Amino acid sequence: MADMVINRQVVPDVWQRVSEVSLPLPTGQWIYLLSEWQELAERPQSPSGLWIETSQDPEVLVPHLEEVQLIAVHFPIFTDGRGHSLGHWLRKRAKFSGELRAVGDVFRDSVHELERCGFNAFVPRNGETAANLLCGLGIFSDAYQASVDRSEPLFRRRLINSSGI
Amino acid sequence: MYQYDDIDQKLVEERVARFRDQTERYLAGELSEDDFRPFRLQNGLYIQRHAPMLRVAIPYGVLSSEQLRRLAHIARTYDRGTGHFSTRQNIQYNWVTLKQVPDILAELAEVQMHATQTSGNCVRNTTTDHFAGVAADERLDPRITCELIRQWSTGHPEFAFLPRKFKIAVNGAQRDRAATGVHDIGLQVVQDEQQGLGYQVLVGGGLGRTPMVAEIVRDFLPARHLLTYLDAILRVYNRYGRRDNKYKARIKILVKAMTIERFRREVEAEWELDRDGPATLVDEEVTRIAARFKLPSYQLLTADLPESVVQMLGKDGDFSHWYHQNLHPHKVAGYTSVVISLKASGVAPGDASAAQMDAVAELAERYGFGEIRVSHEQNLVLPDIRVSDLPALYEHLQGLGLATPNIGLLTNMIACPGGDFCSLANARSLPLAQAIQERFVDAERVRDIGPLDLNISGCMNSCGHHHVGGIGILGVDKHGQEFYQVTLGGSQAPARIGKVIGPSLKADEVPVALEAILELYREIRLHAQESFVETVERVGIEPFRDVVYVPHQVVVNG
Repeated sequence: MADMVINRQVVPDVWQRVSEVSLPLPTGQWIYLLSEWQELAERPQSPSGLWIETSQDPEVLVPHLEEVQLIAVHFPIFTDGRGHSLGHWLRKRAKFSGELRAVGDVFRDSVHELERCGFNAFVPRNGETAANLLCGLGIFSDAYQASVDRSEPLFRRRLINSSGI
Repeated sequence: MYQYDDIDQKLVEERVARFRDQTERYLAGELSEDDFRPFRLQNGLYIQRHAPMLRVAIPYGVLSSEQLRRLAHIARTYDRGTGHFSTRQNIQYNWVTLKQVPDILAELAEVQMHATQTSGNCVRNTTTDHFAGVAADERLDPRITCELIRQWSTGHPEFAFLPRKFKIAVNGAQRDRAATGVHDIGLQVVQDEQQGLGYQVLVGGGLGRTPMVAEIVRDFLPARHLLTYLDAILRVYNRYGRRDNKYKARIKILVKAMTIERFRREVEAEWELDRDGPATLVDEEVTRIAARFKLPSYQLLTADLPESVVQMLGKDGDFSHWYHQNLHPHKVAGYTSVVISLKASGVAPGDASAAQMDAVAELAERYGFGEIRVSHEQNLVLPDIRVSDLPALYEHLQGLGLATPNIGLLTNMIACPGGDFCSLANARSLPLAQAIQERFVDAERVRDIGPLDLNISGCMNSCGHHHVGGIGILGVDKHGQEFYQVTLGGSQAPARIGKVIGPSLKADEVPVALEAILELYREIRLHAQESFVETVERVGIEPFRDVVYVPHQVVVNG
């Protein structure tokens, strides 16, 4: 099992993609494409995850969000900002509270913005290490905007500080 | 200017630290060119023809004298002693080295400046009226709106990688000096009788290879909803904007493809979900920001013209031309705003030497309140000058070669750096600008031609805003040769795109063609007050086309 980062900790990745093995699935934690998930005769007993591309409409996941523990968003390239809005949408609109992981072109310099958009898990791309991903997190002490990680913009916190509450 | 608090300062320093780390890893071969590029761009650094070009943000065009001195110091220390003020109220250095950029950014951070998001596919520096806060025709000071947007957009995690660059302009005056109609988002401050202060929100304007005038997405947005509404627009764009073709990736293309009606529905539906949420502005924040702008303590002066100025006007023709051309009405009696032309003949438009920058900083302190503005017409402005100080100030400016009396006139032309510096350009802009300056060296004739925006872009990226020039010139490449396409009748307010008059011309034909066009204008205008653009509007472009292409002295190259 390769290492990855979850909640700013380096941990082994215990999940596998269904597409990468032949059926029937051995026991374990599996990530399904939406089409694979919809074809299942019955929901698995073990924790399950869904895979989505940045180009997909996140609303297709809505009927299944309560059935899964993980959503993996695949970034074909780290500058595909649709994935950032997708993260925001899953957390803020769909209220998804499970593991939200970024996979694909994920490296040290791309994780800061992703974390602020609600991603809590990062699988390093080939050639990148989980330990190195950690160096890219927590590099700013504050932020101006409201985002998934901070529900209030800086000006609300400034207000509280200046009024001495 | 807005003065940083500790948090603003810390954030800009952390930004420098991040880029320093990235630059070091790039130079050590640990970060690839492709991975480094977006971060390099988002910190203002382009790879150019000769050397990297660093674009430093001048947020909404406002500078303190201390900041201008620092820009001069950077020009002297890290460049070849010159800075180029751009059409987006920024400054560009054309001869920096990548290795030194983190040090330059650190020097900027010391005076509360940065190069954050001056390039790349993100929200860029917000621009506004260069007379913001001092113009006689102002409804509301747009600088507070601009600072709110600066903070909201700086490091916005969701919009760090948009389909394409994104430019916002704000106008708070009766006359739109911010060209809001040709920006991705344009905000017009409006006062509604029932709902109070707010904005008319325009979207989808822009120049480039598909010039478009913005459409109204919301007629009235109460001011407190500014940030949530911007989030909604950007979110719709980030999700649906095209990413397969960079020439079709700007929001204008999306708005056109969706139609403004559908785009509006999408934005309003998105906005509904965050409306009145935590990012809704509160009065205390607006007051806090306003208080961090050091407002000048004006003297109580009479509006009467001082005797010294009357005398100078009577005896000194040059002063008189400058007085009538380069001043702008101030909201406070006895004060005026002075435009310092960076368009002297023989100088690249927008260029200022380190010595000139230092000298202007000194004049801003001596005669003003230590503040300088940068205009999108690539000039500097001393916003608060006592009318009684004009004769003395004029004398200083003349000594510095900064008293060219051509604001609003043909020779106050806008030009991008063009093919001499920019690797995107198809053609050079600066030698052409120079040739036109030489052709129109007769200041009397230029004054007689009257108000005219002449805008030159070296390529379709339109940094010289040629589409909205009364006369626009665009550099094009034909089989490896430089040609120039001429457009007439463009205007930035109200936003209107100029029309192409015919096949493009060779460089040496352009000044001749302009002369023919402008001589015809002088002949056929109804009266001295009918401007060039008004004449073009009245008679169309055909008569002008005929004088350019029919006479034998201009050879048409089809």
